[in-house]
Amino acid sequence: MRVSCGSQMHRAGALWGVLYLAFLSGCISPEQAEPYRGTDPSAAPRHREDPPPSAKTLYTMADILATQGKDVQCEFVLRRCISQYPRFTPAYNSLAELELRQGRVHEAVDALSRALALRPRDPVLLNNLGMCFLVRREYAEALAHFTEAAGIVPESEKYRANMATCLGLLGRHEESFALLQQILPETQALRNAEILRKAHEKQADLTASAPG
Amino acid sequence: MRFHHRIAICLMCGLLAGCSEQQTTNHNDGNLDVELVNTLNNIAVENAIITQHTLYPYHFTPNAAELNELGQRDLAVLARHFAAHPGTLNIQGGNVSDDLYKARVAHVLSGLKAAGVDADRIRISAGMPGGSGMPAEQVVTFLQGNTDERITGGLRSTRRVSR
Repeated sequence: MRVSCGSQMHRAGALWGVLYLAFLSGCISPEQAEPYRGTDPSAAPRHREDPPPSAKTLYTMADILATQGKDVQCEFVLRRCISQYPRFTPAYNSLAELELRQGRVHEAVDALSRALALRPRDPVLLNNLGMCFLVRREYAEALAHFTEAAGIVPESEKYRANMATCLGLLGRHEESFALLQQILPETQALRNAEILRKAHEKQADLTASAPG
Repeated sequence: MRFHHRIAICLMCGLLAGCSEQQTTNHNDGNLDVELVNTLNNIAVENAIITQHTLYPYHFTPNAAELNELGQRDLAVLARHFAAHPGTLNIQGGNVSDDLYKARVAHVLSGLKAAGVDADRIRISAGMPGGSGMPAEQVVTFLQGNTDERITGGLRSTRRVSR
């Protein structure tokens, strides 16, 4: 009886061992298993091509490159991501962010406009496009985009703060202050409103003193 | 031996299920955090809207009587408040014409009615159109559904809003 049980155990152990080896051999790539040692590339055995990287893979790679400050490579990867996955809007956002960082505001507006054509009610895209117009000092246009974003996500303090900035720079101080009061304590709202008022005055002075 | 196999399979399944359970829990925790922050922000903003009880020009579509999406949302907050606690609603005129301002007031009133607010219990007050720099306190109050016109703050002129 004991001998029979022991032999059964050995048999089961061997079965598990064979299964394990089969599993491991499945992990070895064909190149590793049978490397081509010839000199003529055309004569090399053709293996199944690797699938192209997914949109998320490319996007993550671009993010890493941006973190490393490799803007050229980052832009290349993002453009490849957009060409391969035109409906993946985060790539447009990152591309616009990179272009804005480099002062290429018009290109950033173009990238975000294309993304908004795909997803017209994306608040992040709307907010970022508003930021581009803010940089271009087109405050009314920027306000329209921030207002739309705030309408979609009304609880977002960020969009309301951006609206307040635009309104302040447009000289609509009462509205700007009212918005700041909604999202900040009174003293901070006052301080920010004062900063915006001074910025508006400075801008008005510059416009008045500009030749022509 | 079959018993050992079963144990091995059960352990493997348990391990895999444990991994997926952990992932789901972490994901749910993240969502909960986001929702909590959004809710707190929402409450704070809604309280501020009720305290101000004012619709500004940025709430309206430029050069039109209609409210934009943000305006509709803020009016809905005010409507919920006014349904239980009647009071005064300020509608700032900004630099719009008299006719456009009246159209805006009419649009807001119809919005309040649609939201179930008794318009007779709401007073609409206005900043002076074209009066940039005028303090918000200096507003003319229109009593809706009443022939009396009451003035709050400094009186400059009196207008009756047609309905």
